[in-house]
Amino acid sequence: MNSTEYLPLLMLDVRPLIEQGHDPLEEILQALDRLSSDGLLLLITPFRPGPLITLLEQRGYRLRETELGQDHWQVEILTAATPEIADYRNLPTPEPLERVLTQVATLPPNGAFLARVPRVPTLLFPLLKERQLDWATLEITDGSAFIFIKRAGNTA
Amino acid sequence: MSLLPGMNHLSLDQAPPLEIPAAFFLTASFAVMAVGALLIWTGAAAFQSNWQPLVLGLTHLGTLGFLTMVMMGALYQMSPVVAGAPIPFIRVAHLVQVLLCMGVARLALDLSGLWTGFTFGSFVLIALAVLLFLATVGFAVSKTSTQGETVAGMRLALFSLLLMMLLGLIMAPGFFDGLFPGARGFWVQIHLSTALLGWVGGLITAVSWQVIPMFYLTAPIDPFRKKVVMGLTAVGVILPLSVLLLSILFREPTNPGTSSGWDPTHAAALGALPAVLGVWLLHPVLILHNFHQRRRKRLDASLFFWQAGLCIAPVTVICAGIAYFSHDPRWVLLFGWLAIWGWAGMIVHGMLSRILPFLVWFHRFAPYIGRIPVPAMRGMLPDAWTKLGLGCHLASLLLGTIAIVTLDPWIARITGLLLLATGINLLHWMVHLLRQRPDLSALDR
Repeated sequence: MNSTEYLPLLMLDVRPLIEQGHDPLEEILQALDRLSSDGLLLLITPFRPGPLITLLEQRGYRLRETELGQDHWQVEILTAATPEIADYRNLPTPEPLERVLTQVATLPPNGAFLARVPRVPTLLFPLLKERQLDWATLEITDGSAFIFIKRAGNTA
Repeated sequence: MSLLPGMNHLSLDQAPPLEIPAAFFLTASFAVMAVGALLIWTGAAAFQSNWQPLVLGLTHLGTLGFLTMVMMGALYQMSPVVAGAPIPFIRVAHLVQVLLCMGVARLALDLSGLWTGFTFGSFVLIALAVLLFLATVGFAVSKTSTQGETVAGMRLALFSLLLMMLLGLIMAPGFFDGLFPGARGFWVQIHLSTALLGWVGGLITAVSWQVIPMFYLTAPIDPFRKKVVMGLTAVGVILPLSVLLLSILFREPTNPGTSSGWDPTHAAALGALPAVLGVWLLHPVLILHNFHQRRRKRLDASLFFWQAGLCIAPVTVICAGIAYFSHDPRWVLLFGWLAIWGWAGMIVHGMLSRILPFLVWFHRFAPYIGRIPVPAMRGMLPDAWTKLGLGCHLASLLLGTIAIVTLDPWIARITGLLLLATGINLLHWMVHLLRQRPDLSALDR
């Protein structure tokens, strides 16, 4: 896909920038500009970014932060239109696949579905293709992945 | 289509039809039944000496008829899905299955004394099956651009399969005219380490990296540890073969006890030690530790198969060590029994009870989720049947061990009965699974 398109899933690790003494706010805002209206930006930071959370919440974003380890925080930044994330990480194969397919069966045109699964669900892709659904995945360092699925709008 | 580049390569068209792996799996259950029937018929005669043709027949029913049959079926499915390597001329798989089936059946009949005729024919059939398999699956896996420890392990296993087949074919005439290419023990030892550690061990370890985190929700296994196990296995396959080549090149006597500077038999045994360490010691420790730390400790019968198989692996090492230094043939038999029906047999049996329900569900039901009522995969195979298989298999393993030690004919026959029951149970639930189909009439309603 070309660079002018908006992306539903993005990840930005600002730890190297902070380590070099740079303020990463501009890069974060640029990433948010590239995010689709119902997408998710996954931000990796070395500490809880309190001021940024306040700023983005004031702008209408929904944020969820998790401490993953020492100097390692993960912040999920969701737009107002981003669907809630269904967490299927604790389900063995093929239960995440079963759940995702059940959920997307009722997606309306332009409707989106977002889930976190134990790993990149390669076996799901041909089934999504068969259902004429669009999808994107984002793999995280722990091996789990986010999957964003969207049913295209009516072109008629 | 995918919103990200590079995500569109996997297609259902690339996966083989369900009938291909299923045919291999179904046939494998008959090999288990055949071993059971032969044990019932022969009693403890099968456990008298490891050089008996009957023992060789039973061994190859286990290694080729059961283990290799399942592993080939699984590779047809795994290569496109895991390694991104679609198999060319996929229908050749049916010919591979028929040739292997005929070859193993003929070999078992020949070596059990139930058939007399042109006995070398069985080896030709098996070799043709393996060559056709390697020409298609081996070619695809060797050419794939997908990287990683699983693909590397699959390549090692396939390379070992080729070597194992060549060694077997070179040795085969010796079973009929007594003219082996060298000392029989030396050649058998290398054939055995290539087969058990390279082919079976290489594939079991490679598959475990992929399926254990997937099916049992464990943490991904550390890539460095995977590389260590893989590296040790590769070294342990290559070193004994190097010894064999050197012994041929320098025409060293390969009879133990003949002194001419170095003993190739000992050198080959030492050369296999890295693979023994990787496959039968390090891999079980890694996977059992991984199981212990899994996120969601849901009880699952197939998990018990894995745990039992992995716990038996170090016991096979002890038996192999004692067998090497002892003149008592029971240790060699015990080693073979535990390695084939304990370590590998338990793991392969357990994997079947996980993989086949998944394949049936994925191929037949997953395309209809959300359109018609579809059963959950967990409900397709009653847990009680898997547990029955586990019980029969474990009991046969234990009684077989006692039969080898005591040489009691009735314990050997009960072992056979239990193995027969294991095979029948396996066939029964596989047929039950394969008969399940979605109710497509619901699509019209």
